[in-house]
Amino acid sequence: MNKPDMPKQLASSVDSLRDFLDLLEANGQFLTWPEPVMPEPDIRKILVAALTDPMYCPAILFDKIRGYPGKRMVAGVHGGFSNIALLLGHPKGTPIRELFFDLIGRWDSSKAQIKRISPDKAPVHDVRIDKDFNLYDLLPLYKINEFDGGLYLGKANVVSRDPTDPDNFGKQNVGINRIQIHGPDRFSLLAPPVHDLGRQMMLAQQHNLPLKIAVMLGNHPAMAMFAATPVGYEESEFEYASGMMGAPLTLTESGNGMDILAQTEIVIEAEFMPGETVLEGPFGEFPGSYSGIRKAPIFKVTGISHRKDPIFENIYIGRGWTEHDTLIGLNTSAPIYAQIKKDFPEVVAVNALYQHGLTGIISVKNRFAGFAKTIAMRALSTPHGVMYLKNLIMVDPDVDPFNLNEVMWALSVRTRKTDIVVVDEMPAIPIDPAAVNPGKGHRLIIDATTHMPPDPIGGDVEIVVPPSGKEIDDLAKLIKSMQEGATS
Amino acid sequence: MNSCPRCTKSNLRVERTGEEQGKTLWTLYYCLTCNYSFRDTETPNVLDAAQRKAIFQVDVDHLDKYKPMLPGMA
Repeated sequence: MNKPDMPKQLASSVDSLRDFLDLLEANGQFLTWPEPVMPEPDIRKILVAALTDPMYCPAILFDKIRGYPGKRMVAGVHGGFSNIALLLGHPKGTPIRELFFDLIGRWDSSKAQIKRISPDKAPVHDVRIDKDFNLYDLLPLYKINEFDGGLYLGKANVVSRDPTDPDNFGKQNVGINRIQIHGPDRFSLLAPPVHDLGRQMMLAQQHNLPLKIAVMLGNHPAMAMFAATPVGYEESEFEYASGMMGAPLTLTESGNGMDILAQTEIVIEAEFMPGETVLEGPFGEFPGSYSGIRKAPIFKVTGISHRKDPIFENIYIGRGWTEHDTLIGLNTSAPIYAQIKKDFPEVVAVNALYQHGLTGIISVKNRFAGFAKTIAMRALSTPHGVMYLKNLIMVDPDVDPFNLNEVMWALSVRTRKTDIVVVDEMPAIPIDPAAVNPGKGHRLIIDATTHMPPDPIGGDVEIVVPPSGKEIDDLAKLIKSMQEGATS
Repeated sequence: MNSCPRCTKSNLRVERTGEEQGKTLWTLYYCLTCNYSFRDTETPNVLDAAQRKAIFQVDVDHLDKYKPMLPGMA
């Protein structure tokens, strides 16, 4: 078993996907699937089964995919919260609430450490391909969900630069965009206008400027985790990820001039083909439903680099619980908390783990009657809340928003009909399957905090205060270890 | 496979085959009409146009109903 300080030391030494898989394996959070699998449906079934345990879902490496001899694919790298815990330097099994407060403690870190090495020393360029590109030979592709419109890369980090300001490092964007393969050297990329890359594609088309991208597959786990966090247009995701990790990231240059992670497994360089579109979708998305079909622009491959014996990293996404939920849940919660906290220090914690925050639970120190509803309104006006926070449950500080048993208790005993607020005709994400008019929807606030004056408090009751704190936590751990000892 | 399960048009391109011990295990197709990809080892409810749910079909005679992802990029 690791000594108490070992997880942090090990986590800070991670500089690549391979390093992280070693860390996961040392902690029982990684396995290699022993049997041959068909691309469909075997991989999907195995990943869905593994994700039934969101706390301990391991990363699973497939190296016997039938029809793809010698190819390796890994999924579930961020599948379990224990994997996130190990990445952040905590033991596996660390409660989600503790991980949330760890991330909050790292928020606004300005300690980015970016190292650079020349391309000839970067492992990503171990194998270089400059012609005769064939993505079907490079990647062991499979259908993530049964009725997907094709073969998708669900966890690629895409690097792009502002076509009107291509030398600006800050305006270089790294995002996660779903990519559908449309031929040996062609793919479509989903980036709506509100996303940085969508904005860059529109600029390129309007000004007839070239737009080059680098698609990184199999990355440092912090990059995958933090690239999905919305940062300002002129902020670098590389610096943000390094700052949040408190560890260096090593960059090099791709063949088409982008900054890329030096130890990424595979980099596909491509250029935007203005005027060309294909039908993109459907794709099983995070609300647990299939997206529709849209006309999406095409990118053409211009170069490929990869490490020797590369590992293709992908994800299972669809109806929850999926790796998508674990990957972005805490990063969805933390910015909402930080933005509310600036104005209202009474906010205690934010749980926006569910379907990218379509449902959120916020704990807050109530100051007077109706105060929690005010905090809920502030949450709705955060950048993420504007489109996502559809259902909000407000609870007191004595309720852990990450413990659904406690949340249900608060709902059961602390709500009256006047605690429910519905606001209609609000903006909403268009892929909410419940939407009558996609792009619009309701906001539901349930104030499950204790009633305060001038509201009547209620009957002559007093809440039981059971023993809590470190002594109880230690006793719970002792009981668990006694149980494990009894069965080993 | 002679036609696309999604749009029923016969405009398929073979993208790759999966080989095992000298035998073809699967063939991956791409429809040049509706941009759908499929492997011939997928289940009948995916491969058979008659069994597929209507919501997953593409009517190539009415492609205008599919909106562009970005304004002006149709």
